[in-house]
Amino acid sequence: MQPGHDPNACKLYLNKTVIEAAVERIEWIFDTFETISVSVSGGKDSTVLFELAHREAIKRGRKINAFFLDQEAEYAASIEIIHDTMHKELVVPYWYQVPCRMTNATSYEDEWLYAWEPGADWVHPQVDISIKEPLPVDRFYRIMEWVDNNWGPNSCSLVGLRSEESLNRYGTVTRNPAMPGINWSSKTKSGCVKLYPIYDWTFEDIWTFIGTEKLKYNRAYDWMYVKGFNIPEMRVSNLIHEKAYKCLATLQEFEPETYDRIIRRLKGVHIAARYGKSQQVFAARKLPHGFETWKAYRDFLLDTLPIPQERLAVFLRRFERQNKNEGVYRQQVHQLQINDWENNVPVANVEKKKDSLKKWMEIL
Amino acid sequence: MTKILFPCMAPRLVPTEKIIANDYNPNYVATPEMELLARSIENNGLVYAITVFYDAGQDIYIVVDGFHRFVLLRDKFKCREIPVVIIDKDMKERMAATIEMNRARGTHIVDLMSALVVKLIKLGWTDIDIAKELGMEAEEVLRLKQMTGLAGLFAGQPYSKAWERYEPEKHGE
Repeated sequence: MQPGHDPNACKLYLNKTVIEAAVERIEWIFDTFETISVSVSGGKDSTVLFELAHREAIKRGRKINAFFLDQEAEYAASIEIIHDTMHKELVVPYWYQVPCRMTNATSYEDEWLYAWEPGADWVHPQVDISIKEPLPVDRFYRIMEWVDNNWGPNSCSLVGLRSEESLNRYGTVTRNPAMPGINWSSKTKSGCVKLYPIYDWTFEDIWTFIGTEKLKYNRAYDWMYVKGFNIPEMRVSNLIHEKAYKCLATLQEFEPETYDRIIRRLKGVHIAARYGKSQQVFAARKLPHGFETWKAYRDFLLDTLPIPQERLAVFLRRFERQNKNEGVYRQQVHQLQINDWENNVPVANVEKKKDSLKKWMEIL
Repeated sequence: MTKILFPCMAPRLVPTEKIIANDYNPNYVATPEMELLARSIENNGLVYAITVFYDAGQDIYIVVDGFHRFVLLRDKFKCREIPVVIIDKDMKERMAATIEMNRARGTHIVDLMSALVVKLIKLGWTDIDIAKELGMEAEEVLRLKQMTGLAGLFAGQPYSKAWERYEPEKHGE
């Protein structure tokens, strides 16, 4: 029986707080592994995870690695946090500023954001301590894999993934634990151990820790709070990915200079910022006037989008295999709007509502 | 160098009933901003004339920019005459001018907005004054003046209970 699929599995509450449990897990990690790397992003979860691991490192006088894959289109506020992290005592910086290709969800013309492309006018400068030498791979997930594979023997990689943040993802990644009894772990194909010591923290726990311990945190959260964002949904990530077009709508109010640099660097960003809150242009929530059905609109887009034939063929082949109903057509429209030929935001074959709770019940 | 014209130096008063809206403007102003605009006209008077095109054939003035100011002057303030600035352009240029004038504007940087609110408080305005005069909701003012930041709100709260994934089948293996 695969643990993640066990219908009888459930949450067993322990007689300790999340902070006590996380400290114990991290002590165990330091007892068990020689090389410990923490994956940081400048976001709140990795800020907390790094702090916990760093405290243990100080206590034991041991070094830890801080890993950050810099995607160039980042908030200046995130870079500030990363800079602090990388310069802390006993931290070995693994700040990668290497050529990395990502799909640009905001444009049909500029398909790629080629982060750290040689000679380009970068969104923010390279720093002295970063790793700049191009790696043998240049796609985001390949780079992550490559980095994980190169930590060396008896190493582990700590990630601030929380089950509350992404129910499906947590259940999926921990389906096959890396070590017996440690069901907050997973193993990559090449055998790298990944650990999730704060998997049971809620967003309130994260903010309680940051507030109580007076940790320095990403200022973007304060700006989002001022703008009335829903606290549990506040996220800080790089600024150009499939879901980030919503962040672009507010970036101008948070970091006007970053915004200016990004629109100079990449086509489509200004349009995404203008229509990021609209129900139509990128979000496919409201059918435009002049179309009776999502199918009609989808077919119109397929006929008229300014994308190369081979990309169009990818969409056509994929759509051919999917169910034929309006819910599916609507999602296909969204894929076309964000030029998602890579299928980063997959189409769910049936319209699902309130399904994630059910799925979570199955996982736990 | 392009020679810049100053049509703003030649405003004129025209009868309100001769001014009409254009039929293409996509700009929409929400109610709170409409109220703010009315307040601004009350407090400062009308500081920009309405930009119009003069249709000599029909002897009417068609709004290019300033539709919402025009509506307030006509319907709320019941002005019989309204100051206009005339530009003489063809239809496509007028449509372009409307969008240019609506779009070419900035956004307010959150940090600086917050600093401005704090300054106004120091100058003696209450939250309620600020909300009223700047067209904000009380909650927006509160958030802008909160200097503790988000983390400050959570400091000292109790943590939740840790948990493990428990799988009955595996138990006793």
